[in-house]
Amino acid sequence: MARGVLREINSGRKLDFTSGSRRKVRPPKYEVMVTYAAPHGYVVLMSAMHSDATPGRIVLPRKIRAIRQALTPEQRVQFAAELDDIDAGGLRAVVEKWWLTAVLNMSGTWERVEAVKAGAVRTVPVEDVIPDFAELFEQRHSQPYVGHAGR
Amino acid sequence: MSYGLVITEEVSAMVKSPPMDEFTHEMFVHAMLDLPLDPHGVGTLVRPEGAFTTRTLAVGSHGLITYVVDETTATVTVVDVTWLG
Repeated sequence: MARGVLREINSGRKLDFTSGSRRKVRPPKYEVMVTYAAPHGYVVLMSAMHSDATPGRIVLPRKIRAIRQALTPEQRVQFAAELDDIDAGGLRAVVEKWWLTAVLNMSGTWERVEAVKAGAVRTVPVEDVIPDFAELFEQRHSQPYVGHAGR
Repeated sequence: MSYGLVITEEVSAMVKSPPMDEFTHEMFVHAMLDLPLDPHGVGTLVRPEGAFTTRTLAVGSHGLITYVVDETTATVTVVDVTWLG
């Protein structure tokens, strides 16, 4: 099942849709966000257009040479070993995994990940950032968001 | 099993100031709504390490949420939002 949101660029009007909806989309008139049911859950698939409002974007082609250059020496060895051993059918997954690793290298995310794992980072509940999160969660999943109370 | 969802103060500041444009924020919220129920079932596994699993989840085609799942505390922590392209 797919579901998502279309936003008409000119008017800002939004159209929610689920599978079975058949709307003619003619980019760039619409921005499109689609989620679809993957074997293990919903995955955000695409957005046809994006805003240029956010600075500091990272550009990294999904090419082996570019990925390799953005890896640490240790990661390059692992990447090469996986490429050597992978079946052709698994190549895309390996490239994607290491592309993500390289992107996170470039963005400095790994240092933040390690800090979080060490408990050295201050955090806030999701409701501090998305005040109506619990309400939206219940609408989407037909069950309340219990957070840590659900343990 | 349900997980508690928290966000680092750094990401919180990124989301709030300057605020994301409306559509990007909507995509961000959509992505966040899927994390508490099944954080291992969405996104892409990047690095499993003991009780911690680092995964990424797309925000449209140009954003990437990085989050850490801590099985010990049943907490999902949104660590970073990276913009691509």
